[in-house]
Amino acid sequence: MADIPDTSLEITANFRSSSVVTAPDLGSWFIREVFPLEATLMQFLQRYWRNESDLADLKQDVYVRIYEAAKTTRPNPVRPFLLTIARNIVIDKVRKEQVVPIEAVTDLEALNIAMDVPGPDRTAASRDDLRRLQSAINRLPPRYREAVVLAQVEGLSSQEIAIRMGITKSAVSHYLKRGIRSLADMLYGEPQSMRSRP
Amino acid sequence: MSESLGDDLDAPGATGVEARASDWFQRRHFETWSDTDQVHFDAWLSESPAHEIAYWRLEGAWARTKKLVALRPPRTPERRSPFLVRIAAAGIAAIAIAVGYWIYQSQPRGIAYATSVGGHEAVMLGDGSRIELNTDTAMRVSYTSNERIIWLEKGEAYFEVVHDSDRPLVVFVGDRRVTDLGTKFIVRQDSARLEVAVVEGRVSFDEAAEQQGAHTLLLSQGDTVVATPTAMSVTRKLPHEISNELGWRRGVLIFDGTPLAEAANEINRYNVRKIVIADRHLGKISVTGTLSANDPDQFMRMTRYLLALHGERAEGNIQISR
Repeated sequence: MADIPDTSLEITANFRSSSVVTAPDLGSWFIREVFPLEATLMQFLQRYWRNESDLADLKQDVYVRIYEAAKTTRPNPVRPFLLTIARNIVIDKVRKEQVVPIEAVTDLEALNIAMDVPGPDRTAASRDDLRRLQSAINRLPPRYREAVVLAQVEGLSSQEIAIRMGITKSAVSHYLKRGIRSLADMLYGEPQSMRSRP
Repeated sequence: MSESLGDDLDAPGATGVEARASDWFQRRHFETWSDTDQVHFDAWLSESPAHEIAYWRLEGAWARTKKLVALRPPRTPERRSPFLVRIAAAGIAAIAIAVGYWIYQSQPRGIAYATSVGGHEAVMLGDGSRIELNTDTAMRVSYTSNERIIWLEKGEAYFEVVHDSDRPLVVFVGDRRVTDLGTKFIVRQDSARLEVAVVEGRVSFDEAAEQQGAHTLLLSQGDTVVATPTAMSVTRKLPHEISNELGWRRGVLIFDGTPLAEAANEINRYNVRKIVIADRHLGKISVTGTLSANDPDQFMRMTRYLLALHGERAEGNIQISR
């Protein structure tokens, strides 16, 4: 029996996948290519737009314009494209509202995005990423952090978290909602000066 | 961030959109979700690209927080000092403290990770190290500013460690430990058998501290230690043999002249439905090839077509016979 010849075969494996992102193609592309540039975008907007309460809307406008463009063609590389759009949006807004000193606009129009300072190298970026991750979770208020960690690490539902933390389910929902929003802001890199915003 | 209970749901502009996205996100992930909810959610998403973008952004951030889980402060950080202080106060020599520390270290605490049968998870730790858990595996991780400790409670894991000589990464398996010296390695525990294989770089391997004559082994690339409670052996494997052992990372099992019984045991680790080979002689046939880890039917088809063996499903298992 033992001298039956060896068999040999190659069968394409069904790879076990562990995907976490459920967004469709364009969504995955945004997650992979666009959101990681948010710190750069916010720094740019902050530099050329003084009114902080407009920043969230400006950011949204930039993202929507990228979305519209990317539906037909994905820009590559993304960074100069994103900054060009940001510049155009700021220029439009400056013209419309006429609130910013004219030098700022000239400055902006002269700005050559392609010559803009290069992004940090990959290694530095990933080290920075980990620091940011660490700092983000640590900066959540304790109850928010606890709810987020129970949801993320232990995979609990809000009902289960409520029981574990001894609080109401609606308080848990609130912690999770605010927690994930804050994490998104911190992870995608709000500029330093925005961190202490109330 | 404010602790006020307002959720900005009615806020104008982008702030309101972000708030509503987080509301959907929270409900979809952590509460019961009905078909009606899905319909409303889809309608909200299609109202505006800004809605979709805001939602994706949260999904992306949430996926990234998976990396965070190992960065959490340890649950019982206060445990160490009282314990060490007590020993020191008793006037026991430094070596005893070392042993005490070992005993302390070998008590599992920290964050738990586990996979079920057929599972496969990658964990990214705060220092950039990466651990992949194979099927039916459980481990705990404790990361603090001066230690990186992992307890492999069962199963198998592949480690890619970012070396830090001030804070070595130590893997405890029962009363044995593997210390990273800048490396990639595999640790696998099946009942009483422990196997450590070095894929790249070096590790040190220690026996239990309290055993007399315990010694440290320095292992380098290709070295494989197999230890049972009563015996231990070290062999050196060829690079392709080591990489075959890691086929599970791609969801496959690679056999190279492997006895059929052993191949069946390997597949069985990944599946609830087990392959049973009653005939000992059949178990000795050697097989070579690549099979999907979580498809025992594929194994049955292989034995049927290539070895002309008979396979049938019985009582939730797969019986292979002549």
